[in-house]
Amino acid sequence: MMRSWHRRRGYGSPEFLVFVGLTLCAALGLASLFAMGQFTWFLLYLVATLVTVLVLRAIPVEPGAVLSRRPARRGLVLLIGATCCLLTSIPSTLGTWYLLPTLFLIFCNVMLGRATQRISAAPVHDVDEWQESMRNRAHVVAYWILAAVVVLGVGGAYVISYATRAWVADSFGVWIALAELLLFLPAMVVAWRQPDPVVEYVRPRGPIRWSRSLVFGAVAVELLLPVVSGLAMLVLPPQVNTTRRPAADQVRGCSYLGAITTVGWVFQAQLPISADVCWTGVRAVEQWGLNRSDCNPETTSGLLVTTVSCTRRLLPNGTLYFDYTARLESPGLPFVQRDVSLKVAVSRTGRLLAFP
Amino acid sequence: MAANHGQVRGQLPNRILVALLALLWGITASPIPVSLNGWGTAVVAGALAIFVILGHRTRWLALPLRQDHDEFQAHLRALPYRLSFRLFLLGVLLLIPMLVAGADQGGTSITWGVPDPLGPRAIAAAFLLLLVLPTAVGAWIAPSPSGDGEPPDTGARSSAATVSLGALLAVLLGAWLVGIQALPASGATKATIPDPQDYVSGATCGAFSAVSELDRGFGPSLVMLAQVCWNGRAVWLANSPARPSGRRRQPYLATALPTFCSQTADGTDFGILARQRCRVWVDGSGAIHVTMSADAASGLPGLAARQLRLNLVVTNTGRVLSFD
Repeated sequence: MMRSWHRRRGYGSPEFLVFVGLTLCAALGLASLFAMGQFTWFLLYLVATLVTVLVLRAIPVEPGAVLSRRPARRGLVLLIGATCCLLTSIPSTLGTWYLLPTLFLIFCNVMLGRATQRISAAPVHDVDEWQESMRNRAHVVAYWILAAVVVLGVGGAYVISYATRAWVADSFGVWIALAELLLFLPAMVVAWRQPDPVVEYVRPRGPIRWSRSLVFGAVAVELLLPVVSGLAMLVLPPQVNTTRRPAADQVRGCSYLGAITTVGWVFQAQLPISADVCWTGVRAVEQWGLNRSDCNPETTSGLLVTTVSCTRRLLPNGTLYFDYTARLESPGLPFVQRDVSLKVAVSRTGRLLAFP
Repeated sequence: MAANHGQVRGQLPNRILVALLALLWGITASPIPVSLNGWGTAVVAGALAIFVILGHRTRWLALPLRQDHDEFQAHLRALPYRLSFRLFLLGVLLLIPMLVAGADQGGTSITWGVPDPLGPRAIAAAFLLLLVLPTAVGAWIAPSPSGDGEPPDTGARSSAATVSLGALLAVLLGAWLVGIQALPASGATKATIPDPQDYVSGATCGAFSAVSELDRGFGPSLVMLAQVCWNGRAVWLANSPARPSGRRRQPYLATALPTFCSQTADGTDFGILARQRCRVWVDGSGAIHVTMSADAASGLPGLAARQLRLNLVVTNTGRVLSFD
């Protein structure tokens, strides 16, 4: 990639310097996160995705035997249009349902890049005269399609009713669809209009083929990972890390109870218990940390966590009982949920009857 | 060199017009001032007029109204579109913080108000940008047409296009005026009972918001934000300095809400509201009547004016008898 950059623009060019500056900033940011112990699998996933995107943009692509055919390309464009329609129809209250169509849209865009050899956004020196003419026409057509969609879609929604106005403003899917049109509509028009190739496609051999296979394999893994992670959230047992020690103020008959329950893999959530509990021989009492305001996740990386129940009771025998149940949803598998319950029970003599 | 100098001189008026267009777009999109006080239509009409002038000066090179007769012209026409895609993306990215800033300034920030998060100014700015960008970019980068080497009917076709678009814009302006004068007002109401933001001991409060608008939001709009409380014996308007006469003074809510009779900044961008009247009274049955009315006008002297009215009736038990 660096060599191709040097060939195109030179190491002293502003673009190269900005690229180096941004890379250094990103590396420094990641290093500080690592030093602070905040480097999670989820963050690593995001970094890997970013690197894959950069590598994918750098390697030359060819449409292959299927995508070089016009019907296949038009099918792909229709699929992208249908996915955008689906995204705009998802209400903002179903936040976890956006990810799957968005991942599919990303997959379609990767395929679209292959089908059109990314000529719509390629530098001038990377396209021939025919391709330049093709993308020029595509931009003109795409612009007026964009105008029609925005005026009819957003404008129509604005004048119909207040409910549709709120829909447009609140729906995350509308903004994804708009971004899709702004970034990929010219490529979609190129894919739609480009004729079938005259020469039959010849499969490349050697290192180019292997490097392409590797990058597309990485793309597939990164697109499937949220789904696999959703499955992992369902089947993997939660990991619990507990702490029990005398309370900080050294009062006799008081204990600090701490527990972090980690649920999921890559897409994770950490549910905490952090409380001081005391006992008098007659009953156990909460000092702090077992209240409704304490029923919150410690961290969430890609999972949606909602509190199902958060109750504290004093049983007739003097036992203090606390139950925090959280419902976890993974955007990778939005149709399944998992309830995780954290229970704490301390007897009037300070015996721990239940603890994660 | 002399040719380049001449080309730059030919481009200068176009670039001044483009800068003016950008300024008018900025006024439309910007959250400052909070309200355009009826000048919105003039600003948009001015921007459209500049668009028509620019189009005429560039012989509508950027609009797909004619066939290109060579590859160079096709490229010259396509380049503004390619740049316009990026500029429109930039414009949308600029509009988002402007919307957030506009909401923070109080226009649409009242959480119990009828939701209109985008607002007509943002929509108008987006549409304006879409329409004018290719022509403005083309006028900025392309040399002024000299007439050499063009087909003989180019000038006539360009003039016809100018007249047609000018006429279309005049028709749109006429339709906008007719919408203010004659078409029925649209609107929405929203009642939140009990009002989650406030608590009055021994009473229940409800947050009532209503809007009555002309031209589907692209004209003047009257907005009512009323917070009504009741306790079974009395009913009163909480966010009003005036109390219903003959009633015992009730505890006042602490929240800093706009008073019921202060028109919010929303609704006076594309039209004006004058002689705003607010009335609150309690009838014999103990129901509170809250009415708000104003004279809505286009802002063009002597053209298109009518009355907008909002009405709310709530009993002392919290029953809403009328809200429209």
